[in-house]
Amino acid sequence: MGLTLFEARGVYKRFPGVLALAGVDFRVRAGEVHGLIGMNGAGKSTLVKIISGAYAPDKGEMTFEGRRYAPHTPADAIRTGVAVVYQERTLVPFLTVAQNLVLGREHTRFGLLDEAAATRQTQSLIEQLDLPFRPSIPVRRLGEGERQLVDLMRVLSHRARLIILDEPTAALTPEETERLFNVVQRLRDQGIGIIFTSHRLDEVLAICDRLTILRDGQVVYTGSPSARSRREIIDLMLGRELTERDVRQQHTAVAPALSVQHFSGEGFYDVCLAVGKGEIVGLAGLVGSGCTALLETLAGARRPRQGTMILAGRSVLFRSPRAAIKQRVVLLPEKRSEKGLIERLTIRDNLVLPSLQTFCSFGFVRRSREQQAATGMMRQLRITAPHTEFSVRNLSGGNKQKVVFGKWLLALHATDGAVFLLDEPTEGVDVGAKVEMWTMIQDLATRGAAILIASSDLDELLQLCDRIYVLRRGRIVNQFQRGAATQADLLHAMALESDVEPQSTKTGAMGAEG
Amino acid sequence: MSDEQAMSRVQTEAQPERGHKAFSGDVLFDFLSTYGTVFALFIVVAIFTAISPRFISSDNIINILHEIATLTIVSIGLTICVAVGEFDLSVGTVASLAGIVVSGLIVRQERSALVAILAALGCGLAFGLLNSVIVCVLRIPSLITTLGTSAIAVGANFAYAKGDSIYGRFPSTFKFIGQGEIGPIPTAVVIAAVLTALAYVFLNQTRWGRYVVATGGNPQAARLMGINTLMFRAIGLTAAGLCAALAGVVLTSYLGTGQPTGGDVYTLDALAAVFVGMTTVRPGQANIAGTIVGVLILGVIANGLNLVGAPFYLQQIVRGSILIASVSLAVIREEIRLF
Repeated sequence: MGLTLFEARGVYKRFPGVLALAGVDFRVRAGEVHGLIGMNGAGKSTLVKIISGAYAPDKGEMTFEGRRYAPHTPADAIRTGVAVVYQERTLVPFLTVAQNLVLGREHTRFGLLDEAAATRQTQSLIEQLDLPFRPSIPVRRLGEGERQLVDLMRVLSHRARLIILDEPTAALTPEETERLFNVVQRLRDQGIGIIFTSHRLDEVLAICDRLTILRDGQVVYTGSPSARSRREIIDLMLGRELTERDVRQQHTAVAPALSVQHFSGEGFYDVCLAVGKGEIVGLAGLVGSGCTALLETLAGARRPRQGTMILAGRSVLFRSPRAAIKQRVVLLPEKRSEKGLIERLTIRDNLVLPSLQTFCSFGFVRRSREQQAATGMMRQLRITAPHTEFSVRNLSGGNKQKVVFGKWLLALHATDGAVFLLDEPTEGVDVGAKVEMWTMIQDLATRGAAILIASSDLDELLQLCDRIYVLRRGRIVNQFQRGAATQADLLHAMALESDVEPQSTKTGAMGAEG
Repeated sequence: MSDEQAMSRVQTEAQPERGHKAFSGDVLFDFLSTYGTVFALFIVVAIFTAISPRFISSDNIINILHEIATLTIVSIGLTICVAVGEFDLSVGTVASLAGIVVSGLIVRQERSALVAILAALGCGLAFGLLNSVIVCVLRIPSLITTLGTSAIAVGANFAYAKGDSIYGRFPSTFKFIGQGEIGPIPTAVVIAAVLTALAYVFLNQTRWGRYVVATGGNPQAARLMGINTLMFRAIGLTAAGLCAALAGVVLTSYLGTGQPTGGDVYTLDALAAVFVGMTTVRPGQANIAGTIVGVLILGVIANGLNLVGAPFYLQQIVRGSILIASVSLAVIREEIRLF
């Protein structure tokens, strides 16, 4: 058990109209990983910004290593030994790892850059953390997870003793997450304090020594994560009892609504799969395994190279998303802000866009009709915003995703027989909204929709899906029935090269369909 | 950190039901940032009125509206084009070409005004479609495409008229377009006003108009929502070409001669008007009402500078500065991203 490294007492922060932090006490020990969780708006990011010097608290005081700590800027905080590793990388892609590491405080000899010293320093850090790359590799050749590790190294080279990891795993594959956790554990063993925020509760529980839960700007729990059940933690975050999710019955589809045979395209090869009416089918795969490419091709956004696609018994080829939508095949894309929404426009605009013709007569939009539909959908999906004319950009992740959902519900009228392709449907969504999303997905299936979900949240797939296909390097390598797999089984299939041939034993029944 | 920064961060961070409540400071800030440009217009008007009381006379107001009618026509087309997310740098030279074609056909080929006008509009349509094909089929950025076709329009212009001005007698029906009046209002102003109204209804109240705005807002998302984004890009580029040609026709009638470079300035002026428009009414979005504010600012300043006897070169410097200032404002406020 380490000594107190950082302490905040009675921290208040008020923004115009919002009390973001209402007297927060928060303590991090040296050599611990401290989880900081809460719903969107609970005050997590405000607290992180105060600790990292981006905001000043209105009231309250902080100490770091026993001394008063009141940074005026993030640079101040870094000099003192407190640093944040942000989600957005701040690396220069064309410089090497070593060059990035010393950027802004290069070693010089006689006025010239001393690359050798930079390389030595980088190499020693790489060895210390047991990382898999060389100092001389350009950052642009590294993957997302590796770049984050470079960022982390840079923070360490500034002699940070308190490191804040703000949603570090959001963009990482399970494999990369694993490696990050190894590094985090090494740092902890060296006596560094780590604050860890994440939407993924499993990760927080797995890595953290202690946990602080924020709700409405106040600390509602501090202590060991193992002292509370997962369920209790979620209830603490939400401040209410979660409605009991009904356990889904295994659904066995009679005939597939959508199936593909020997389907190939950019990034996936020889895929055979089927989704039945009322069925929820999962796609598990690491980044680059072809899940996104496959879904986008099924939705008409990309062209397939080979193979057949059969929808409701007829062979189809979609030349555009428009064609797919007409056949009631709709995509909820990954990166919803970039692909799923027009952020500049209002909630109403986004909700009615795909179904606009139903609110028009002679090409003119009937404002009252679309208004009515948008208001109804906002209420039905419980989108939290003051009104329909609110800009989508200012919504939380969960509410954004509800708008994406809502626009298809409006466009499809009846969901019976429709095909929903969901790509990372709950990424960056808080726990409460995630549960709502799951309920919506199950509801769609109950009402006869066929659903195909790609997710890097394996727990999500295991909870929701009747069957799960595992993709590796663009090929289906395994298939699991509901209840037949654990997270470890899935990870094993997703990440390991050896074993089974594509469409092996367990897939027998489905392979023949369509 | 300033209060505004804190406010804007709260907007994105705080829980919706708490963060979205309007507080008076926020409302005032929103209002000023949305309508600041309109105030700027009033201030400019007030300054010129103070210097020269004649400025605000009804004669001069009609005069200003007459002067800006052609720029309004070009800018309306360009607004639709920018709203869909494309640029058109060829509007000026296409307007010049249309002006030369209409005057040449009437004076040199002795065709009827109607035939000549249709031929000139045909030129605008042709360039709009050419731009559309290059942008949508060959996938060349419109900025480059229209820079190229702009030069082609100059070439076509010189090939037809050898670079000479075209003088001669125009039929009175043709002169009515640019010089006539309907009641107290010049015909050109009526044309510009009708076009403005049509474009406003198109962008704000029709399905296609909504698709134009959606495509400009996020082409990738719009396509995934089933919108035929290529078609709407083509519509935007074609609207810009057609309006430019119409402006060229009106300009020729207004001047009473065909000037080989008469419309060239419209590229800069119309872009300036559209960008000024993007700072107001619907910040970050090309919109008709904003564009009209932009055209008025440019027109009022041009007229006012003339009236107070400012040196001629000041005109160009002021226009260039307005273009840069409006774009800077929008970029600083992160309302538009260029490239």
